[in-house]
Amino acid sequence: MQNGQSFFRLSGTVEEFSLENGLKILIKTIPSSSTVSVWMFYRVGSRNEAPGITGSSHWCEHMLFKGGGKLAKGDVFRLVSNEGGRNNAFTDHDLTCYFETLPKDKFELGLFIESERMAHSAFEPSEVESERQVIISEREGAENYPGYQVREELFASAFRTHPYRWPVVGWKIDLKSMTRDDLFTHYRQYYQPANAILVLTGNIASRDAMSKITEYFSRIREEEHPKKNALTDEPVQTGERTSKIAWPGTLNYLGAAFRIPKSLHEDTPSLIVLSAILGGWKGLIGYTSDRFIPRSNRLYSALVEHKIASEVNTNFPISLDSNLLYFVLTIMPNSTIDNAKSALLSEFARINDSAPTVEEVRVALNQIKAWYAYENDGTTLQALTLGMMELIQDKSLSDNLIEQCLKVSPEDVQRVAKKYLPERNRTLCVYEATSGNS
Amino acid sequence: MPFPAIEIKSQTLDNGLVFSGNESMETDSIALTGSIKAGAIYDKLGKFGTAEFVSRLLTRGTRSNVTSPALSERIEAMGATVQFTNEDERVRFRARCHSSNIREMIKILAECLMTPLFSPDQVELTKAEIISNIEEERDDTRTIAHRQLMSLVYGEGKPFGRNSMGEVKDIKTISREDILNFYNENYAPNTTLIVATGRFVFSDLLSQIDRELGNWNAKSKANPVVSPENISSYGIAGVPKIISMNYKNQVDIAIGMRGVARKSDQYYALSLGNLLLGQIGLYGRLGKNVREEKGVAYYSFSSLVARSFSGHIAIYAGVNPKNTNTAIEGIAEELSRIQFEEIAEEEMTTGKRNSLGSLSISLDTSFERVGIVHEIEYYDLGGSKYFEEFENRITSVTSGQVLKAFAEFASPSHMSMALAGPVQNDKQIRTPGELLGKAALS
Repeated sequence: MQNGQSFFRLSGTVEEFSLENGLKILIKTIPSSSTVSVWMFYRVGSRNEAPGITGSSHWCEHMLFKGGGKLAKGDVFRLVSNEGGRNNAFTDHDLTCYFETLPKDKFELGLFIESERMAHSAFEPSEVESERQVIISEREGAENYPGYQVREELFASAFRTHPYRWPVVGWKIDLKSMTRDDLFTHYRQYYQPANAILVLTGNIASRDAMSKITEYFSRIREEEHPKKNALTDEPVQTGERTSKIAWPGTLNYLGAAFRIPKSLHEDTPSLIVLSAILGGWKGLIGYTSDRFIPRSNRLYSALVEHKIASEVNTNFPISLDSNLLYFVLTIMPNSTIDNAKSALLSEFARINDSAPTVEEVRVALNQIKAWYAYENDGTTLQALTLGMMELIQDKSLSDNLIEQCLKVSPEDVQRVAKKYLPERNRTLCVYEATSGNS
Repeated sequence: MPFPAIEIKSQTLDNGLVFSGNESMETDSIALTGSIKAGAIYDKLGKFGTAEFVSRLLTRGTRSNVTSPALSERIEAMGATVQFTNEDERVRFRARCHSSNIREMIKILAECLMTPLFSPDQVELTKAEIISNIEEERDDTRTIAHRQLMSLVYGEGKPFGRNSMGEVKDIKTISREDILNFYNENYAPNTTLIVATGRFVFSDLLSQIDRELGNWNAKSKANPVVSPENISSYGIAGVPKIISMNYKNQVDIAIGMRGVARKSDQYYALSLGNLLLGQIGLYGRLGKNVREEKGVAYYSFSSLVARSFSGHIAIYAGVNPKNTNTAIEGIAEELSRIQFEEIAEEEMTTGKRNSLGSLSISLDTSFERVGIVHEIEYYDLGGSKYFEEFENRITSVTSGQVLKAFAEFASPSHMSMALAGPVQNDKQIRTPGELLGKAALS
């Protein structure tokens, strides 16, 4: 058994730097590694969009593989592949990020790519048009899955004013109408050194790294400070919201969501433990690919063990703004939506009525500690966590969250259950599979 | 890029169980994986799905932890993970734990492997769960296209050609006795491999494994259902299978053909060709053609599967229905090029560098490293010397060998296609075999 309160700590040896243009830099030296992972995070995601340009952050991410400056179209993948490296990018509600994991002596390539992307992406009109159908296709592929539709509907119902109400990929109507200028304006507004965080992890000395980082990035001047978009606080939810999707399919689904505060809120550690007790835990970031199904939790026991659902997917996002703790159930063929709803709501009521046991909290905490180590396995994943934490607050946020979780008591869990799981804070979405093929 | 030094130690217990380990003191945790030759290919006619049943039930109660929840709590209370997955020719397990918990983890693994309970209530629950999972797949265009393609490539109802989860009609009739029989026939130490990487001393871990699993009795296992002698070299191209699902928004395309076993001499040529065709960078040549140039798909990639006795090459793409033929044409163009057009030296060099570099980078995480070591040991690829062998084999592949291998396996007569989704005008759908035949003649 792991000793008491000890756990893997990510941020202890991380060095922080910044350039005059505002670029923030984090470097973690891992001498045992043969690689260096270079990540660039931008403080822009779907929360920075507005109706009419939903999906623009994600589309910009695609365009940054299309060349500009010293990079021709296709160069990013070609150059990284040629060195045997890995690269990719993704966009989420709060951020857009890019990475290259390379042999340790080739890390400069990552800096070159990211500096060109930041300053010189071309957004050629023909490339924008060619990418339009690719992105619509990405969206249509996701639409084929009922689980995606339920998630999209939950967020659209639970949020009425905040940009979390639209999906990161964007609404199709906007994807069809957005122009090259819309995208380029979005790019220039947010792809600035002062709006970015560069993270390097791996077998690299910080002095060598900073010398090269200065060479590539100090000449990039900030054109203007990123304009703050008109982010609105989501009004308090005053009653249960329900919606229904009736569409052909083979199984029914049920989604349930509760508004929770932003991750910097003092209730977050208790909510993390609550989430783990209800649905199991698979890490703070949730990007670690693993098909492991946690079974030692209340929802699995109440729904899967009782043949009501074949899967209960529990999600606890770490985010800048108030977000959703949400659950998506795949309902078994011989069960019903009503059965699933009744069993699910009973579990929410149960934890509201009585605190979890000390043993339940202990099991949850051990999972949370263990997964923190698993999800930071290797240079690439460590850089991902560090960048995300820095973007939300600072590099040690995840260490602090885990530490605070270890102090959570059963009463704390019940307190946040009472506060955040009442009916008036709940959003439900039913996916009723209809028969027919049209 | 030089490979980091990876030392693989291996030892066979008296009962035939093989343990291979790679000590790594840079982490506090241990990643375990392993396999038992007890996958879906060993299912008997009329009982398709039994292997899946058994694999799921291993973590659902053992003689010492009578109930499934008690076993789960024992695993998760120490922050560990254990999961068994049925993978056609083998059942694979993956586990992680803190190094201080390794004794308990080995005990749990031993109990799961040697004394599963198969309690009637868990059998019934698992039955309902598998049926639900199959129903879910029936609504998943990507999985349907893949499953249909496999049935064309390997033959409907044949090993690798059928759904490893089984058939609903069979699953409904599978009894606890069937499950016990399958377990007794197929689970044995002499078909089991355990691999670990992380913070441990090999000799200590070996002793623990011997203590917990050394008294598991070896069995003489029946001949495998699939062997080099009873599987034909090539699939037989069939009429395209089109599963019409008009309520979906995207059509999933799956195109494929029979390939080779992992130890085949042609493996490295096909591996490098597959990398260039649909993997490297943003889905290789397929990504460039179908996504970048034609702009009709978010994904269009290829995969190479090479098992003990057989394998296949498959290409997948997801498109708007109006672009189905355009995507198929793009795929056919690239399948033609990889057979008939010499590969430029620069592209070959990039592919080789990427192959070597990717393997090296994969060794950076313990979860990926343990998987690589498992494949080396499972296919008997030379232990620690594999990395040098891999480098030699990949760097010596020529353009001609890639073209020849693809010409042999990806000829029009060996190519199959399946589509699932809102297919429009299915009579007008072109097949890659038809398009490729024309390309070859022109």
